[in-house]
Amino acid sequence: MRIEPAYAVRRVAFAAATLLAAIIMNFLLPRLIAGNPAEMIASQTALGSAEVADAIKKQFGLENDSLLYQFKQYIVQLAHGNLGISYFNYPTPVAGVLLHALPWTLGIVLVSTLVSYSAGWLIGIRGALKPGTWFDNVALAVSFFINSVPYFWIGILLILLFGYKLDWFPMGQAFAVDYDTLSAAGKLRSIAYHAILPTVSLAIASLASHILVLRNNLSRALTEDYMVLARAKGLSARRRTYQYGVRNAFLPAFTGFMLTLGHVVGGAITMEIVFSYPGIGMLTYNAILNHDYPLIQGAFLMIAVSIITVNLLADLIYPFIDPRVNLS
Amino acid sequence: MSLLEVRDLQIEYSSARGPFNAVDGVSFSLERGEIFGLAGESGCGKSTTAYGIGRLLRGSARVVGGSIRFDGVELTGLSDAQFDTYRWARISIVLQSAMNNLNPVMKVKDQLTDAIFAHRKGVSRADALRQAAELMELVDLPKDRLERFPHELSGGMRQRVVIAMALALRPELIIMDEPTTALDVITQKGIIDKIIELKRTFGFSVLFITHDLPLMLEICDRVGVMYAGQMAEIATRERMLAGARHPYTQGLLRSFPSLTGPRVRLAGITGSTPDLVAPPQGCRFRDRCLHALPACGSVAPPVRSEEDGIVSCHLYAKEEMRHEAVAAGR
Repeated sequence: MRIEPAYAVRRVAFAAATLLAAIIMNFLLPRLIAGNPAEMIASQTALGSAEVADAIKKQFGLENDSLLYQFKQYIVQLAHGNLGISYFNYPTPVAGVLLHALPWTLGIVLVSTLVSYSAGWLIGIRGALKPGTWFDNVALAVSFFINSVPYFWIGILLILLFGYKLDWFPMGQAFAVDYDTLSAAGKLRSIAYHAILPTVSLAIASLASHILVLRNNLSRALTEDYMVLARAKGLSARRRTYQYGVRNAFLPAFTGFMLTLGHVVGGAITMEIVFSYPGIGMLTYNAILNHDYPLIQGAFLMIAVSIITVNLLADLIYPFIDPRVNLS
Repeated sequence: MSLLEVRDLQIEYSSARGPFNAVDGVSFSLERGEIFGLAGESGCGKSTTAYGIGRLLRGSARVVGGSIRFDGVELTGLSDAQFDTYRWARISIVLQSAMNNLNPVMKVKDQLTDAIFAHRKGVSRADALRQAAELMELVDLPKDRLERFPHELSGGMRQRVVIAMALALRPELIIMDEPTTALDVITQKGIIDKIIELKRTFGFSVLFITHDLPLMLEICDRVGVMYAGQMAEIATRERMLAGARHPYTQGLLRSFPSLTGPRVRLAGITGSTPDLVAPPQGCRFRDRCLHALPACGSVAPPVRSEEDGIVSCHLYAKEEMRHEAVAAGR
């Protein structure tokens, strides 16, 4: 279990190059669209004088027509954590808008990802170890069902059942209307209470694929020759199952987990809409509806950075769990 | 007393078309220090026999009849927990030298020592590592390979590691299932020589499974030839080299070219093996046999024991029995 320096350098360089490409794309794309945001805001805010338009132009770093100049400005601003100013929430900076929505998304998407992966893996392991039992059959049938329905449909179903019919949980929003009057503990309770249904929906929606992936991987690993040898060696069932079987079955699943983790900050657009949940997904959706380019750009950049970072992390962790990757 | 006595072993598989015996009444014995070969085409039940002895059967396969006596103890009567004391400590196994013999995510040393830890309670880590280093020496591998992962070793080295592993607890019996099949000829020669040398040193017995009959004749003291789940013939190497008795063995031997003998057309054996779900009456080899008698179609071939082997074929039945069989066959 070690990491080759050459491998690590290669992965870091690759991540840096990807990040640069993402930044350039993010810089160029909105500039390919005709129109000028300064004039648009100036007209929207009914301050249509030339001075105001010029001032706003400067605020957005558009005072010089040179693309290179604008790019330099963009990089300098990025380095200062300035992602620009949201059109729609003018004059709130994009970074502020994103940071405001991020905790909500992390709360439900991160938790549901962790719950869904660990539950899916445990169910998948149990199914592969005891194939053909009622537990395995039920898990498989349910997995195929969940995998075949649109994932937001599960959210709608849960709202209908537990929100509308049974009235156990709120049907949407992240907190109660009287949130501001609550004590700290009350606020926390209100948030948790509102988060349960969307979190569970998200977890169930992705559970199936985690079950199927680990079950298939483990079933295959169990037929390998080293499993026969482990049995012939008289190793304990526990060691055979985990150190020889699950350990190998887990490797491809880990990659999937890290990929999902990178996407967590992107939120879960459909599910957030279904639950009227104020996360990044909802924010991005509204930003697109409102043509709020700086906000869209900011959200995309944040997602890109997160995915690249987590992928790099996965690449650097992987040699420790699979010694073979240093070669490739 | 023989080290291993297999009597009338029956191993059943279930299939979509019903159960069938992949091993159907196989008997043989294995002496201490002997290399006994099990030969036959793919699917003849030679590996299943060995896996049945080592309690390593997979899927639906299970031993449904017969007796396996190891050092005087009936193995079929042991509980799984009791059998665990035989695993590796007394019976170990070397599988085909494919990549997947070793766990890809564990270092060589950990795969050598975990067998030691599983059976020798209270062995210290340092002690186990020293034993592992000795094992590496036995198979002519440098000690620094202990720190390597399987993918960092060549196919031949990996197979040496597997052999070292099989020796870890100084077992009395090592089952070798096609141990050199995936290796090139030079590496194969090195491994075979190593096995013979180690056998001389430690005196273990080997149950050697392969479809490579010439290789088998090179290293085995005796050879059992299986056909369609049954033992067609058992013969000493000398007997085999002088000429096999069973028409199937004769056919197998004719399927391999000889480098030194006269040029002959390789004959091979026409036809294919019978369906085991509904095996034919009488001799299972009859349809492909060049010497088939009328009796072969209806009466199971009698087993005849000679000084240098056992053959199950009507051609070698006693005169009066043959007449009876012929009469029954009409």
